[in-house]
Amino acid sequence: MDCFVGSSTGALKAISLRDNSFTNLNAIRELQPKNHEITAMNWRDQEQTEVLTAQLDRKLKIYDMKDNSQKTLFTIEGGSGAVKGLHRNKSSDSLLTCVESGLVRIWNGEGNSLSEWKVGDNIAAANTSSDGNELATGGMKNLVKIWDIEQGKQKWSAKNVGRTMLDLDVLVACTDVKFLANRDTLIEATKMHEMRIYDPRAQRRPVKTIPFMDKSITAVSNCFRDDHILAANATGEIGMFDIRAKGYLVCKYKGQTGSIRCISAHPTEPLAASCGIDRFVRLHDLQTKKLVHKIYCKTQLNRVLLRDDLSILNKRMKEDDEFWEKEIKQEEPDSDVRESTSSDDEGNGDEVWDDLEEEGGEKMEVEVRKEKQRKTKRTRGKQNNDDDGEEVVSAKKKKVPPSRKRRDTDLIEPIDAEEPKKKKKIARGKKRRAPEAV
Amino acid sequence: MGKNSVKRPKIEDDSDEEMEDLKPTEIEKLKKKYDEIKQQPTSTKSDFEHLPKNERGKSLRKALKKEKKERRKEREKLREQLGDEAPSKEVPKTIESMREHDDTMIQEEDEEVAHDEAHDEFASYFNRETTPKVLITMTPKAKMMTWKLCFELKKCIPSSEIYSRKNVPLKKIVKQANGQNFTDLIIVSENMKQPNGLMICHLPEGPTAYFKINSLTFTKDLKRKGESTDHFPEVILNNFNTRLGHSIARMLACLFPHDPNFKGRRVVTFHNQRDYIFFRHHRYEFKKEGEKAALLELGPRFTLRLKWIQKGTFDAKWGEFERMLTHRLLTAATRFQAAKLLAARKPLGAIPVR
Repeated sequence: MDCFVGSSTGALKAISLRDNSFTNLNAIRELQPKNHEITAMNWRDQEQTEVLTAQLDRKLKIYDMKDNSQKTLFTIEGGSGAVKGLHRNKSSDSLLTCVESGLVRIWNGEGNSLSEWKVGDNIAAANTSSDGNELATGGMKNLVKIWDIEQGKQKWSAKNVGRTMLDLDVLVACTDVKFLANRDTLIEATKMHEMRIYDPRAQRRPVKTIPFMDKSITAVSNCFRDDHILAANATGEIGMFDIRAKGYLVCKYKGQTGSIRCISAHPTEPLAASCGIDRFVRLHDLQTKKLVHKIYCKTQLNRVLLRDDLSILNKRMKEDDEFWEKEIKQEEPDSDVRESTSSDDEGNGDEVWDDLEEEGGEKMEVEVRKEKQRKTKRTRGKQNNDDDGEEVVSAKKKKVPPSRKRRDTDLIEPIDAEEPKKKKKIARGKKRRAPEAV
Repeated sequence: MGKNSVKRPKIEDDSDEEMEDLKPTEIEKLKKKYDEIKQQPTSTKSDFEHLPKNERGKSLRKALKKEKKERRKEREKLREQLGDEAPSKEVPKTIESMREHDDTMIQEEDEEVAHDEAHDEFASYFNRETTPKVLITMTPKAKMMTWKLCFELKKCIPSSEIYSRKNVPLKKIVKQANGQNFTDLIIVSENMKQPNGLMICHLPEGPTAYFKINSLTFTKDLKRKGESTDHFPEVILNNFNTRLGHSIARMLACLFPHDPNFKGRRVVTFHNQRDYIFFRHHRYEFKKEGEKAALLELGPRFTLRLKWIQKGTFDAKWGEFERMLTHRLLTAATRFQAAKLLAARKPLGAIPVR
C-alpha cells in the first residue's frame, strides 16, 4: 500500500501503485455518505503505518496497516461542522483537531480533551508547523492566524491585502494554509485565485502574492524542493511555483479533468499524488512532468496521503543496488581475471572468426580487403610479421557486436607485448589471494 | 444476420452431409475463392465515360452498389457450402467500435458505483420521493428565437414553466426556485440573437451542467412533423456508458415525470455518440398490427455538447468543476479525426512506393 485515499462516500481506499489498483478498506454497503464522508486524514505514527480518518459525523477512526484492522477511537465533540484539521503531536501521544466552527481541541489517546480554544468561524484549513509547536488557521472571512499550541494563544495574525483600484475591500477567502518546509514562512491559497506568502517575522501583510489562472485555488503543498510549491485549482490545473524571486510558474502538470481537493507530495522524491472530484488519483513525476500513475477510484475523493516508503521506489532502489553490485563485482576481480581467461579465448575466437569468414557470402570481398590490408601493411613498414599483421587487421575490420568488440580488440592488438605480462599478473594475484584464504 | 440465424439449423443438416463429401483440398479451394471474391475488381470511373457527364457519378454509384450485393451473395453461398468451416465474419468498423477505451466505463453489478449513485443528488427522484417541476428561463433581454426554443422545450417537458428572466441574477433565481420547490432549472443562453447554450441546474443541491447547442432545428422547419400532446413521454437515453455519462443521463432523466403515458406514444430521445448528445422528439405509430412501427417527428431537433459540469448549484466563479472541456480534453476527439483521415487515405498508401 503506497497511498491512502478518503472518499466523499466514506470509503477509505488503499492504493497499490505497482499494481495500479485500489482496495476498499471498509464495507461499501454500510456507508452513508451524509455521515461517513471523510473530511480529514493524517498519519498516526512516524512509520506511517496507521491512518487517522475523521468522518463527517465527527467520528475519529484509525486504520492499522500491520494487522489490516479498523476501529473507532472516539467522537470529536464540541463546536459544529466538519473536522478540518487533524494532526498528531510528534513528541507526545496527543491529537489536535480543528472543526469548521473554529474550536481547536487537544486530545489524549483515550479521547479526553486536554485543552481547547477558539480560532474564529468558518475554518477551511488548519495545519501545524514542521516542529509541531505552531498551528496556522484560515477560512472564509477569517484571516490567517498562527497559534501557539502549548499555550493556546494567538502568536500572529495576518492583515488583509490593500484595497483594490476601486477602493473596495478584497474578500478574505482562504482555502488552504501550509507552513513552508524548512522556512519560517507560510503560504495561503485563496478563492481570489492567488496565493499569498506571509513572513511572520517581517510584517502582517503578505510578502508575496502569486496569481494562478482565474479560478479559486483549492490546495497547496510543499514538494521535494524547499524552494518550490505545488498548487491546484477548481478546474483541475496543477502548477509548480518557484517562490524565491517573484514566484513564477515553473510548469503545469497535465491529465486532470476536475477540481483537485488534495495534493500530497513526497518529501524527498519528485513525486506528487493528487485527488479530486473527477474520481482519479494521479501520481506525477515532478521533474519529468509525466503522469506516472492514474487510478480510477469510482467515487469522488476528498483526501490523499502518500507514504514516504513507496513500492515503486523500493523497486527502483533494489534494481539500482543490484546493478551496482554487479558492476562492482565485474570491475574488481575482472582486471585480473578477464585477462587470464582471455588467453584461452584468444585462439578460439580467431578460429570462430575465420570460420565466419569462410561461411560468409562475401568471401571474395574479404579476400580483396585482405590484399589491400597487406599492401597497406607493407607500405607502413615491416615491423610485424605479415601473418600477424593480417590477423590483427582482419580482426579489427570484422563486424563485432559493440560489447565484445572492445575486449577482443584490446586483447588482440598488443599480442606480443602482453603475453609475458599476463603470467606475471596471475602470479601476483595468486600470491595475494593465498593469505586472504588462510 | 437475422436470416442467417434462422436458416442455420436447416443448413447444418445439409452441411454435415456435405462435410463428408468435401475433402480438405476442396475446402481450401473454397476458402481461396472466398478471399478472391473479396478482392474482385470493381467498376471504375473510366467504365462510364460513354455516358453524359451528369449521369456518370450516379451510374457508377449504382454499379458499385450492385457489385457489392453480388459479392455478398456469392460469399453467402460459399458459406453455406463450407458450413462450420466457413471463415468468421468480419466485425464492422463503426464509430462506436473505434472509440478509445475509457477506464470509467461502467460495468454491470458494480457495487461501489451503485452505492455512489444511490446516494447522489438525483437519488430522491429515482426513489420517487420528488416529482419533477422544471423552471425554464433565458438570458436577460432574450430575443425571439430564444423564446421560441423555450416554448419548444416546454412542449417536450411536461410540468415545466417559463419565466422571463428580467435581469435577475442567476443565484437569486436559484434561491427563489428552491423556495418554490422547483427540482430543475433550465436556462437558455443566446448569442447573436440565436440560442447557443443550455444550462441545466438540478435543485436543491446541484449539480449544474452547461451544454453548447449545435445544429438546432425548430419544429416549424421540419419537413414532416406532428402536433405534440400532453401525455407524459417515454425517455430513451442511449450510450451514456461512462461514469460521467451516467450522471449526465440521470440528470436528463430527472427532467421528465416518472410514469410515461404509453397511450400517447410520445418518445423523447437523448442519444449519445462520441460525447455529442442528440435530442429528438417523436411519436411512434404501429403499422401492420404491431409488426412494424413508424415515427413521426414532433420537434425540435438539436445536438448538445457538454462544456462543463460543476458540483453544487450555479457558481461559475467559485464552484468546483467536475469536468471542464479544455483543448487538452479534445485530444481524444482529434486523435479520432486523424485516424479517420488516415483510413481514408489508405487506398493511396497501398500503391507500392519505389
